[in-house]
Amino acid sequence: MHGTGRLISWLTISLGGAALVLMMVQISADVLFRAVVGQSLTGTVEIVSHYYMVGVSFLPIAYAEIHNRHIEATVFTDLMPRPVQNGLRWIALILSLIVYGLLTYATAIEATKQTAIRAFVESGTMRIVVWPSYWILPVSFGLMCIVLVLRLVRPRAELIPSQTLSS
Amino acid sequence: MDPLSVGVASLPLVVIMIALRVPIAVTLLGVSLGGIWLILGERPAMGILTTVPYHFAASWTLSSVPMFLLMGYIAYHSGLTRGLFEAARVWLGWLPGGLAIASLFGATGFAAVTGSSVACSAAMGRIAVPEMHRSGYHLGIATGTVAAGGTIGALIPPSIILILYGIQAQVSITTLFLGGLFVGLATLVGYVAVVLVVAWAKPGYLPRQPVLKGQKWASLIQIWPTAMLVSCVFGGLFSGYFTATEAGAVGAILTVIIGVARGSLSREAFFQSCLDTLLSSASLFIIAVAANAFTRLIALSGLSAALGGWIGDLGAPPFVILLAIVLLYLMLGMFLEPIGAMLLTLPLVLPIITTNGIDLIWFGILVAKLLEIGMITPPVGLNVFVIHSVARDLVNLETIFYGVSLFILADVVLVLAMILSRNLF
Repeated sequence: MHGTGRLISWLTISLGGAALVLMMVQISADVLFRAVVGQSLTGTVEIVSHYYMVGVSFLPIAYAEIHNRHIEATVFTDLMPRPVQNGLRWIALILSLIVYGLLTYATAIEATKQTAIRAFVESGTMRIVVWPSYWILPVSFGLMCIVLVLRLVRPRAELIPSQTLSS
Repeated sequence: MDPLSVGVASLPLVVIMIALRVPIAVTLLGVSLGGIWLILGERPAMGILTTVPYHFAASWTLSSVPMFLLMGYIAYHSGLTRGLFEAARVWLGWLPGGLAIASLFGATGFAAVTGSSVACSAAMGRIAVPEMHRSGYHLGIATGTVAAGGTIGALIPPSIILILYGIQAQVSITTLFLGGLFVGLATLVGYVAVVLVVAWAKPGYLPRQPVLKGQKWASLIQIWPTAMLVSCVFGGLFSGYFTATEAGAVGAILTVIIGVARGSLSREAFFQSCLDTLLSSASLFIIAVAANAFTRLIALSGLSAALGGWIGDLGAPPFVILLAIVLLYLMLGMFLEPIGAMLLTLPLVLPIITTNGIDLIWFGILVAKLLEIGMITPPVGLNVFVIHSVARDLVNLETIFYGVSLFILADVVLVLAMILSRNLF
């Protein structure tokens, strides 16, 4: 999965990384501001939750799949013969594709709804527009589906034994 | 199908799918979706997929998880904690088994900047194992000490496992942190006792070290950044200056500032830390989302109420129920990644705990402790694997598991003490 995989990795990781760093900076700025001025920065909680957290949580999902970092139990299957392992791997990929496919569909419909009503949340006297953040989900899950399809179509290149996972 | 049978059937299905290497998140989401479909029909089932992911992730409290992860990874990649082992060694090296004890204290110090036990083991393993090897320590004990010492990392705050427990059980994370600190320190005491006993029974395993003189105060200069970081983050947190959620971000940015000031945080190290954080948070959160959906299926099916009823009919005292749950978590910890195992089981276990009047804070700390024991038990002991990957040329897996077994004994004593003294809290 050279070209496409690399593009997906680059895209999701730079956006996710940006959300991560902004989250760190904005929360710290809020704490500092409260200590010095005695007042919170309006909208920190809302922006962190609705934008940064949603981005950090879902954008890297496809990247984690590319790097075999999704958590699964390999103790039992490791004892099975190779062809059985490959067969199970294939079933797991199909199941994953169904689940992530449905997730993409369901969250895309939700995002369309939120866009139609121009969803926002109120923070003090400010209105913070949140509908764009709903699109992070179908995009992330959709990219995950692309990675899963690539794995199914080109299984040989991708059947690397996954490393022991750490969190 | 009637709801209860759907709930009952979902449990073995989850176990089988996970055993056949379907990713945990896909298993839980798939089973929840199918189950709710059977009970309530298509629209509510799809509704779960529509609402749960966004509402779970768009959470202010949850933001402390990536922030504390980032803090730990930056500390690790910038070598912030390198001085901890050296300092502990200078101060404690005169004790029997001094290097092993020093590595336990080093791990405890690192535990205060990281929430993960694997990171804690890896950091100490890289520094302390070669040192103990050079000094002629028995390799099983040397590697076992570091693998076990790492488990302190997930108990002493910040602790990712306790934050996620707190969110799922809806209890105060700050209080959980205090309890985790207490049990983490108790674990340290237990492990130090193990080392002392080994040094007394088999002096040849842990040869005495020459006392290092005159470097005591110099060694403290090495650890001032860590000391300052920890006191700022937890001083601020426990004095109520900022919340547990904000402490993560403050800790992360302070770690960056310290790393840049010391010139030890390169651009590559920073990018790598962000990447590690993103990978860890995304792979954990998708399971947490899935566990959240599974909670809804369990509640809808009436399984937790029915299970509570059956347990009530058995008339078992809370002590026996607790013992059964302890065994369940020990078993799960042997085979599964601990946080995944916790998120997977809490939907079923928490209602039982509440109806039996067991304190949720106390129980959370017990679960964290039990799952951490799973990090060092065969066949899947992630900490042991990490130490093995660090010291592959020196020891085989069996030797590390042998060394770790003594520490597991200390853990079992601690867990028993926790259960027996439960009413004191």
